[in-house]
Amino acid sequence: MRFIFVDKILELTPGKSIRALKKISHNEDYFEDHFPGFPVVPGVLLTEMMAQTAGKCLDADKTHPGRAMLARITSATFRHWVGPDQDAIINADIKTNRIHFATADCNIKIQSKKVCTAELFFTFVPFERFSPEYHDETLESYLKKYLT
Amino acid sequence: MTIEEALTWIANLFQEPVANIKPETARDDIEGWDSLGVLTLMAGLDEDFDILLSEEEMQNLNKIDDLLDILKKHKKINESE
Repeated sequence: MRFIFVDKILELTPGKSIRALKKISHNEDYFEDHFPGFPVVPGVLLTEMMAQTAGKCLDADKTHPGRAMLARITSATFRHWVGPDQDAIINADIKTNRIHFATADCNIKIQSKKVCTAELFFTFVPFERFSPEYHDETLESYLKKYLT
Repeated sequence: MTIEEALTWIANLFQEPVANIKPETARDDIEGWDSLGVLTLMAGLDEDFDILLSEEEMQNLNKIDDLLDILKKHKKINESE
């Protein structure tokens, strides 16, 4: 199972806000177990979508000594089930943005209805901890197209 | 705020029982004061008191009294109470 939960960035203001898309296919392998006859996206994966989206907003900022990494889920609420064949619009607003930590208010909307929310806390892991080959293609392609 | 209120704030921040947080309590004796606890502390001081700690100030925090000194320095504790 791959662990990339953002397909495309729709809007981005580095370090401040982001809106992104994740297309949820009926072929996602986790639907096989979660649950037979009642496929729903696990709450932890909805949270991961929000964390990855907010993380890209922070990484785009380029003022931190490393890559954004989720350090705490301050709160998370799952209001409605999310099933297969949905377009999840993931929103994140960065509330606090400091050199060593950041916080974000996030939500996911399906057809304009808010299905979950989360308050997330991030730290930053030094770049040298990651493989030199590691690139965030989704973020880099957006930055190259719209913000250079 | 009073020193008691500050100790309660610190206890809540580190998710420790208030009874475990005394001025002489050492950092090593507080389970929640780990690397994440340091970030949580920085965020809490920033959001609740508009205090941004320098790297040097962070490194010098070894016990609760050091935290209280920071709050006193920034006039967040009313020492007359």
